[in-house]
Amino acid sequence: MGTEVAKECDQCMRCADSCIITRMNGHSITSELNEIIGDGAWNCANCWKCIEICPQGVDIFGFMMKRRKEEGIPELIRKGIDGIFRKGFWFGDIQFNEIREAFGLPAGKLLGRKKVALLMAGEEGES
Amino acid sequence: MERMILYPGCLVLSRFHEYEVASRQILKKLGIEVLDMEEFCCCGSSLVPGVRDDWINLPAYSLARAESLGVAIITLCGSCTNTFLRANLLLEREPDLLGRANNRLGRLGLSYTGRTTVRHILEILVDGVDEIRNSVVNPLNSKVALSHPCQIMRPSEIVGKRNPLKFQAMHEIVSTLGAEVVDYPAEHDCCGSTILLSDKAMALEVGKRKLESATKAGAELLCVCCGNCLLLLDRHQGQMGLKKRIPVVSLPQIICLALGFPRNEMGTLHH
Repeated sequence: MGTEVAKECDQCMRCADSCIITRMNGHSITSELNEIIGDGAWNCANCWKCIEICPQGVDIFGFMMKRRKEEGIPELIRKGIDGIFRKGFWFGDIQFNEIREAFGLPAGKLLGRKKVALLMAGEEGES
Repeated sequence: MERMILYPGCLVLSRFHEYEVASRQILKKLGIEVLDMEEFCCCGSSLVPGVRDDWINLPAYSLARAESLGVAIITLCGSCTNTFLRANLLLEREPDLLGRANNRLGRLGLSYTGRTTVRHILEILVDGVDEIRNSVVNPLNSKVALSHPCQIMRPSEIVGKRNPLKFQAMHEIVSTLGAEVVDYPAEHDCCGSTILLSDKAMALEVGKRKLESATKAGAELLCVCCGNCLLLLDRHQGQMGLKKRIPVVSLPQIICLALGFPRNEMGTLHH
């Protein structure tokens, strides 16, 4: 897998050394970059130390997006995405305005299913 | 009075009311009039990393809302900040993408040119550090460790000149409040919150390691400035099996405390 990443990667391991997940023996995008095989793309915490530290300028974000598509979406993240498309809100049906009122906060109105659908629907012939 | 729109994000909107209340109080103190999102929509941060290629229409909506009012958007989470900045960069670079986003926004009566300024609350607070310093009435006199909102600092390609890998802003503000800032080995490691939904056990281990590191260094309190950090380090702390728990409080809350705001104006402290 690592060989697919980028010809520029010279396996210096600095990304892995900077990555808290890999340092704790977890699989993340940096372990994959260094050819340690495992489904780890979803365990990248998106802190982006690796991108800052890579001396070769490897497109680590691009690689991670590709690997996440290949691995498929974890169930709990799929639930959050369903919430976005139903309400425009990650937590779907969770009610929050009563407690917001108790804190003296203005009620939050969600964009809602119809408007999210309008926002996300593609144009005919659009790539 | 400068006007800005507050974008709480899904997490803070529904779960971290104390963070939002304190943020509003400090923004008001700094002379900023807070406007609200008329209709809230998720920023799309969880769709960005490889879920859907059309994720950009979600942040474009909120950015367009702010642009229609001619104001900057204030964020409270690192991930919302990063997503809005990434969207702005791509929409500026790729006119076709901006055109397609505008086709969709037009259905909601909106349009976007790509010019909305995105500011995380920490940036506003550090700009106001002199006023905060001059307003301290209850110096904190405690040992405070920091957990920095990493996604507002990196990657530099997205966030610009926000000083990648160096995190002075929170240090400067918390020192100003009369607290002793405690350095600790895990300070610059990610808290782990963003993997809660893909590997909860690992997220709890990462969080535990961070909190233990802060406690061992003598911290009495951990200060954060991101809803994701609050989610893991505060709300999930009880699941980590820590020998000694540590209070985790947002930066706006401890500023309110040092500035002597009445408790009912700064959100409830959990600890």
